[in-house]
Amino acid sequence: MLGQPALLISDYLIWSICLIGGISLAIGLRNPLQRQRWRMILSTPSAMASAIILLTYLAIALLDSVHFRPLLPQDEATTNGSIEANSEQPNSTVTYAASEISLLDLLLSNIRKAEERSYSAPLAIYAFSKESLVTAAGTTRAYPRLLYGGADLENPALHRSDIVNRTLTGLGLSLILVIPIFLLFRRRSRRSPTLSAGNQTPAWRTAFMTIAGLLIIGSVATQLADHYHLLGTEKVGQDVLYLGLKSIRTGVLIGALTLLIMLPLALVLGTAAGYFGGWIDDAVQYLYTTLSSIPGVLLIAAAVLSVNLYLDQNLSEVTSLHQRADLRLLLLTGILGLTGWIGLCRLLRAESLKLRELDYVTAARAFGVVDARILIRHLLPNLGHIVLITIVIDFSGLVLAEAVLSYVGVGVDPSMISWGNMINSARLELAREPLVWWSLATAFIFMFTLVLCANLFADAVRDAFDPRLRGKQ
Amino acid sequence: MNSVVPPLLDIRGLTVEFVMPGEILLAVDQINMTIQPGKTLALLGESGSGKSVTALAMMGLLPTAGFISAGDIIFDGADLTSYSNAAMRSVRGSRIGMVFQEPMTSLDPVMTVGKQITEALPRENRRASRKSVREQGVQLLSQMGIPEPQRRFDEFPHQLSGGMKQRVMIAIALAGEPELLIADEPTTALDVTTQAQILDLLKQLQKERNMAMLLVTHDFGIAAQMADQVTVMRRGQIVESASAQDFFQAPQHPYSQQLFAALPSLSKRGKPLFESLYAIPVAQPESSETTTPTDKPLLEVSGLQVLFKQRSAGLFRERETLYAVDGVSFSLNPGETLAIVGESGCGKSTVIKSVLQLLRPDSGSVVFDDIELTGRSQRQLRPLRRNLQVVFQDPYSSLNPRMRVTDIIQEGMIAQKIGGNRSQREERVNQLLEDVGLDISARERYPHEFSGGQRQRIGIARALAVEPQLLLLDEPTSALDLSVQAQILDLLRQLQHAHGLTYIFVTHDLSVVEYFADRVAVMYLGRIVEEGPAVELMTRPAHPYTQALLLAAPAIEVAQEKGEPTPHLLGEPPSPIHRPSGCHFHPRCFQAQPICSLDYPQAVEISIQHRANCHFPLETETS
Repeated sequence: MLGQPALLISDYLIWSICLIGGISLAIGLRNPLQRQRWRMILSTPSAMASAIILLTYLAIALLDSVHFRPLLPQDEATTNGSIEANSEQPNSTVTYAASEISLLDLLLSNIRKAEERSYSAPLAIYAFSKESLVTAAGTTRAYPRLLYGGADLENPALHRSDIVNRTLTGLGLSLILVIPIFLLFRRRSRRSPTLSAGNQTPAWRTAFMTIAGLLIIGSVATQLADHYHLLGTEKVGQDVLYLGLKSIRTGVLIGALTLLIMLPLALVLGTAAGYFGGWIDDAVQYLYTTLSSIPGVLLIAAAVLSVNLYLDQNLSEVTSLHQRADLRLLLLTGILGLTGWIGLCRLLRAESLKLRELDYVTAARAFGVVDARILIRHLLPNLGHIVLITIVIDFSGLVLAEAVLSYVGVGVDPSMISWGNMINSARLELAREPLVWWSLATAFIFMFTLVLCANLFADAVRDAFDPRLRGKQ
Repeated sequence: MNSVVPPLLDIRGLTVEFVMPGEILLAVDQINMTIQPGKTLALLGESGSGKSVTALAMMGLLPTAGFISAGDIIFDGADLTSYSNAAMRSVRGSRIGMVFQEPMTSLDPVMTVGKQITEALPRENRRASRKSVREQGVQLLSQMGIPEPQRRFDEFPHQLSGGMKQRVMIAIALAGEPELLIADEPTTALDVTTQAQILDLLKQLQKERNMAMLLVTHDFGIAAQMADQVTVMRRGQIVESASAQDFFQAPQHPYSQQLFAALPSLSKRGKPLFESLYAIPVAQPESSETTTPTDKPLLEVSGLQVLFKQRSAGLFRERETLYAVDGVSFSLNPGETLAIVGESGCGKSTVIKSVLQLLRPDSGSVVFDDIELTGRSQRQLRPLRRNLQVVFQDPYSSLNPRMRVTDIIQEGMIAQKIGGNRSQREERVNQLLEDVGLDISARERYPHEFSGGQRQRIGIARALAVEPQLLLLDEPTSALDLSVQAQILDLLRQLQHAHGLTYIFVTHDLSVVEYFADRVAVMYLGRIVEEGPAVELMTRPAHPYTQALLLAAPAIEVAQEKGEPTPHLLGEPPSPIHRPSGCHFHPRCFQAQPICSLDYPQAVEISIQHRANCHFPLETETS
């Protein structure tokens, strides 16, 4: 037992989204046509690579979404503010920490706990700014050695060779994993025929290359991050790599949760407007034209600010810092969802208008099938491709939206680690001399990879599922 | 070959292949054909036979996946296959013109008609002054028989009707004065009367310009009317090539003979069209015309009216009303087949929808088996729905692509709560699939795995699943190939006798009507203009419109007496929003009198059960 489970609301939500997504994918794959389309997606090298990277991101986000209160050692329990769990058994007191950490935090405890005093450059062993040091010779102004970065390096002259050594060690270790995977893939691609009619083979080569690449990067990074701050530290000395990794959950969560909120809205209103027409159509159209004529950022800012005020006044004592940040995140996704469903709704309305005139819908009506059943059996499955395409395209947009909103100051809670907040603090760092570039660079690289992969994957999904593009390949 | 004139076009061993993911598809397989100057070659074939690909290959317009892998296309002594793209451009348009099937999408909607025509003029003509270029364009339009060419020159494609657009397309193709015109199904998207006009035009232009023509078509009648030579293609190969006269008198190849057998006609009534080992033998029924008029009618429709209110053009302008169906009445006895015939937009599909109460009629009554259907709520209608079922035209949009065949067929049973539990329903699905001639293994598959004809069978099985008494067939064969149409018609006939079904058969194809129907109702602009027993009405039409339709349908028999022009109906059906006063047909009628524009004619009894709404019904015998 690592500690007491303390899942946040968003944890439950993200896991259930994954579950729902997995189940609907499994159901969809029962149809051979769908299966063929997914095979087509995976036969595109760029989509295969993106899918693997996206899955890696998702895995990190999911690891980061299992929160618990860690068990505190007996001696620490008395000093730290802690919660008494089993008070009825006084002789075997088990105490848990007050704040939740996630599985990812546990895995990364090395770099999580390695907090410096302030800025340090990537892979540095000295701090970024001079401090007054008291030595035997008296007080001097110098760059102090870092508390953790390269702390066990006795001789600073060996700094460079140490980095090279560790990189090589990382490469070597990664080969131990890469070689068996290589053999596995070679057997796999040999077994599946290269050219068979209408049956595209997944891009195994690309899959292998991507996985190998990820393994090598991961292994080298682990080797280096164990002893250095691979991507430096930020103002209060936190490891930037850690921040970048922690931000993944925020980004994925914003993207996924917002979609979860806008999907039902868009689906229900869009299909109802298109299928039933008449006054329902008028009402829905009125609603979304009104909503879309209000400037989006303004609406979001107003909603976030007023909600924050409410939270500050009413919930400040009841909840932990984490839970409060979590609530704010949920509210942000809710607001993004409420403003973001219009585009999808329009698409779905137009498609439903077309579908309801199709003969199979007429046939169902001629059988006296009730409307609800027609909507579920005939309309919804045939709207699937639009929903899917919109989801993958909107996802990257939402990740970017979070960054913009947090930068403006109406995004996630300032205490929450997110790319937006990282960029926000980078505003001041970039104004310094000498300039601190690594926070911004890290946020940029992590976000860029995610958004690029999501977009590439979206392209492949659209190619495979959009009926208008079919036959052009 | 005794002709001394070298052929204008000589295709030798042409082979076209398509690169598909994972395979190479042989679309055209070593075909040979020649076209003499000024003559017409009809390339006949069903869909997928490679006839359009041949035409595209000649123009150098194959899609990117296709390529000519062998053979020569020798046009006027030069091999077109060796031409570069740039060289092909000098041939295309100026020496070989092309007309496509779909006039709606072949014209650029944002360019005026005149601009598109003058663009196709030869370069040296285009260099002339703006005025003379315009004159050339206007002249071309007037040669195409387009009224008011000056005005039309500056209009946009959407302002023209389908027939007009096809005339413009022909004008564009002929602007460069080509020696060879390739017409790829030039009239398939048009109505019968418009088709007749376009074919007349093509024939006349060909004579004037001494132009050779390659006519790609699936229609035997068109080939018979137009062609000097006929070539039949099947699966990328040529199965028969003969002069038109020989071909239509005595086709040699078994495939051609099979296609001829599949042509529905009056003389084949009651006989199967498609001889096949797989056809389910059914006892020859006694002639279906024995249904006595004393039978109590199964369906009685009277005074049916369906109006569509158009969106008003301005805030204060009154909404315009479209009379889709206006005062349609007919009755139908059990076991009978009523055909509703008419051109597109005449309201025949609307009749079907309003009989089914999927579209609420604005007035009139629909009485089915002594029960009035109009004015009932959806809930009240639900139990009645199992008696009336419908089969659609388009086999691709009539089946939900996301449902398995068994679920598609079971849908009606579930909605009507019949057929017992799941396993009993599955049992019935097996039975139905067998009835419509499909394998039971089809059950677990999805619609995209089936061909058009098979999908249509699934559609029929779905309708039959609830054991209806009346089946409404909305152009069930017009999207299908000739041989598949024959199979579906045979199947429908068998099912009618096996289950005692009553049919309403909506179609625009008169040959299907004369083969299949017991009674016929001819519709024009929302009204039935003539109704009567099929044989009588088809042989002795009383209404001028019916006669015009019959004359317009290209018939194979005409092949012998070619050259003598038949008088075809002029103009196109007016808009159902602004219908002509009095008899709606009078502006196009050859015998219109002043009274015709004043009063809508009352029904005139021609004989028992044969009525026509005309002031001056015809008495002459045609046929």
